[in-house]
Amino acid sequence: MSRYILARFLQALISLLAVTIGVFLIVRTIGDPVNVILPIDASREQVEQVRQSLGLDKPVLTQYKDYMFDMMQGDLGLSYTKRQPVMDLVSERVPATLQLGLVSLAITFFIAIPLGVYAAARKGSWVDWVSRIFAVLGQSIPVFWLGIILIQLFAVQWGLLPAGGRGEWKQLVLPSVTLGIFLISGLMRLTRSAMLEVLGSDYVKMARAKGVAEQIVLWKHAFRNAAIPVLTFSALLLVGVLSGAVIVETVFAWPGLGRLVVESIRSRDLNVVQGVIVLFAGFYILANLCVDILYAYVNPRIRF
Amino acid sequence: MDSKPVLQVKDLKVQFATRHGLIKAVDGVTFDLHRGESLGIVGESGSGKSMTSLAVMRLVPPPNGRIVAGEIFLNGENLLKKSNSEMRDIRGGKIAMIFQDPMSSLNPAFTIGNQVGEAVALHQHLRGNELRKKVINALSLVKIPAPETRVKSFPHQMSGGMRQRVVGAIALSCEPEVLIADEPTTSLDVTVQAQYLRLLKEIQEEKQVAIILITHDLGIVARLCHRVAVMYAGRIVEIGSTEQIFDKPSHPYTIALLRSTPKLEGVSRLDSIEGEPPDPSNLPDGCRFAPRCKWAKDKCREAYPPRVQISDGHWADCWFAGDLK
Amino acid sequence: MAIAEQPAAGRVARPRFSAGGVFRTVRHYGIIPGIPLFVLVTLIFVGAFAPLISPHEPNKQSLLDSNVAPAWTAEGTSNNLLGTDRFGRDQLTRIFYGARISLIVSFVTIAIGGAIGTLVGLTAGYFGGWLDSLLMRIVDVFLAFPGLLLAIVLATVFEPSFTIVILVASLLIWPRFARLVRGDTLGIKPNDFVTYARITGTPTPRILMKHIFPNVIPTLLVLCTWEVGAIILLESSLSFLGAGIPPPNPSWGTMVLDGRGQLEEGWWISLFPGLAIMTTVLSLNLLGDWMRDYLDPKLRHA
Repeated sequence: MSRYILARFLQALISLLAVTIGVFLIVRTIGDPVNVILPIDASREQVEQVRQSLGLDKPVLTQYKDYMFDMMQGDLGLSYTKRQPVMDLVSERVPATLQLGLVSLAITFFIAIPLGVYAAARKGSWVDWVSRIFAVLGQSIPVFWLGIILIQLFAVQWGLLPAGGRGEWKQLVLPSVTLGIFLISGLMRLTRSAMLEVLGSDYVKMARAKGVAEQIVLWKHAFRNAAIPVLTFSALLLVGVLSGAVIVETVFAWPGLGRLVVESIRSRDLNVVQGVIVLFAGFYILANLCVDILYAYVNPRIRF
Repeated sequence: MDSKPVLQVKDLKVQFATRHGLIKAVDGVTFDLHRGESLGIVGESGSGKSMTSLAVMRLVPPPNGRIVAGEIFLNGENLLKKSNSEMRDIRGGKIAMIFQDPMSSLNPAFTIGNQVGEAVALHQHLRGNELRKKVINALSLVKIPAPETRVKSFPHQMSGGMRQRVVGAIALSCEPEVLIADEPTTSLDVTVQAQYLRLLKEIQEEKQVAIILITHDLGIVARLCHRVAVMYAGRIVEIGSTEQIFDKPSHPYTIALLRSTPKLEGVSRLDSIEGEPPDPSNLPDGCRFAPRCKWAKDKCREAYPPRVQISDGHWADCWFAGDLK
Repeated sequence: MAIAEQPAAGRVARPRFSAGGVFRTVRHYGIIPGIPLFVLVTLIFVGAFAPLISPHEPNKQSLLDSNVAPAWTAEGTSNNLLGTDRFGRDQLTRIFYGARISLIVSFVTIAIGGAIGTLVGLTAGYFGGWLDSLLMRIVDVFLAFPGLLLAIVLATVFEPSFTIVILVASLLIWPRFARLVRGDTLGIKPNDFVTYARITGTPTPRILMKHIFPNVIPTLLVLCTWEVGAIILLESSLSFLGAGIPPPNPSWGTMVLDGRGQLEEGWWISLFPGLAIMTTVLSLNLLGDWMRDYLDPKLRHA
């Protein structure tokens, strides 16, 4: 067990290294921050001076080494446009994204899993139809537009909920519901198909033949096994949360990391984008690691 | 064996609604089963033998499958009139079942002890140490070595033969009156098969449980069963004691089936049955075997034959039963 | 029980795909695939002939006519059927031209990403061994990549443009093509006609193109249908974030963004382009699901 965790941990570390190298290379070798900072008609000397002050005149490898070294100490560099440490900008936005993400995930799991389980258990019933409509709509509605429609209805038309911002709980409702609807369809589809497969298995027949009540057959015997692919999918779901957060935060003016990134695209603030992406990647890899470990716990076949 | 039967099935019909029409999987099946008796149900796949057993458990897969007619009596009580919760008490308690594939009939997520214990806890309301004792008893009944440590194993840590024993332990743990075994040895190695069948026979003689053994292997039937029912296209076409069936098969399908079974001595020719079983959504009007039967006359194609008694307890559905050779 | 087994040879004997066949099947299977198909044909027509059928110029601003409501409302005029935006640009015209953008982006992406993915899938499936393992490893890495974030990085480094959108979308879809095509290839390879072609010394590229590729086409058609929907969603999301098709091009995503700030003044500004995205993607998904069910039962679990 501990060897398995260690192996996974090392893998995660390698992935993280790969991501930082990738992002760093794209940002530093292709993009030139000098163009962002200085006006187009800046003199040669000015350019050289800025390059030197940013350390851009050194070889790429040295730059990467410096960058990683600084990152270890919690320094992600300076924002080109806001003249503030990226770390400060990022850490002040983390709680908002975390809150939005967790609430949306809770909504997603709370709806998607029961819906998927019952859709599979009563295949062809109205629950199944509701789930199918959910699935196909969820795949087809653009999230940003869904958010705007919800604002239009609940904020502009009926005045029930605020249109954006963060502060009171009412402001959390629309963004988290939007992000939730975006995430539900995939998880529900997966739960349904995993359950359908498991429900057709002999051990489920066996459980019924033992006289086990249907709810227990469903949740103990069947879901426990269907949970394995569902769990694996949860890592992918986190990609959805992160990309979804970028969009939803923009729509609802939610002051999180996603919005920070989008603002930085507009001002072409490379250091901020790089910092947030590396953070996202790190978070994603960490979550994957957790899922792998949980997976070992749920599936007795790989416990050793 | 001449007491009242434990299980009586009368004119049972199971149908499936599919995209290709209504499928009559079981179409009027009638048989009795006595205490301590074992009945073999033989037939090709699709003949309705597995569906008959699932119907007895009232486990015909919804929503397409339905028991449309008939009666099933367990000790005189009609199971088709029971509520779902009464039925759950009977399943695994009075009637237990062993499925075909031991590799997939155990839940990979739970230990052996957990899975055997679940049935015991449900039907005998035992907990804690008593439950544990009962589970270990059940495992030793099916001769699983070191049952005290085995309870903590997961299915993937055991061999196929051992797993099928565990399935047997689950089925027998609550001392059922009827045990339905659906091709219990098909997926086992030949040597393991023989061991398993011997074990089943021993337990049956010891516990006097009534067994329905579903199989397509006549060799197993000959070794294990007192009586045999031969199914074809949803009906029992011939039923009788094992000796009667093997000595004087009276339905053309039974005759063909016996001829297609290889033997060490005696018959050297190995016949295969020509043609295909009928489409279950479009059964012929007359005898269902007529299209494949070499003795078939016009009469056979026009009307379903009557049930003819060959000798005491030996019946066959054939216009010419007893006259064929 | 009632499930008929799919004969192995069935894959190979499947009739070639033809346009006439599509229409016959639609007539045979009724309206369910008919509606999405109608929507998509309309979309292609509108996209192709946008300059001819549009009532106005897509980027012509007219501040006098800003935020005009749709024609059927009290304040609307028949001059702008779906109203105008903040700059007085005709919404209907921009939606027509937006269809054009969506189609161009998705077709070019399918042509690039789909072709690369198919080639990788055929190679991996046909040759197997270490090459297969290596290629599939790479595919897995790309599949796990959060595409929107990659797009954001690229859009910050470069100016947002058609090229970047197509590049990002291609990077996202090729691994999905590679994985499915590889699976199909693995299934086709053991067939006798492939073995026969090898024995008779047919060159490998010819085996791949003449014998294996035609049998992958049904899978590809289903996948393309789904992926076009995914690409349209991605493009519009990127444009909405300001990392996609640069303004003033009338991408549907950009149009929704334009309406984002005008909710009080004009609900129609973001409503209609959003509906256009949803209807298109929904039609593609429904058509893809239907094609999977009726043309290629093997994909049913994909």
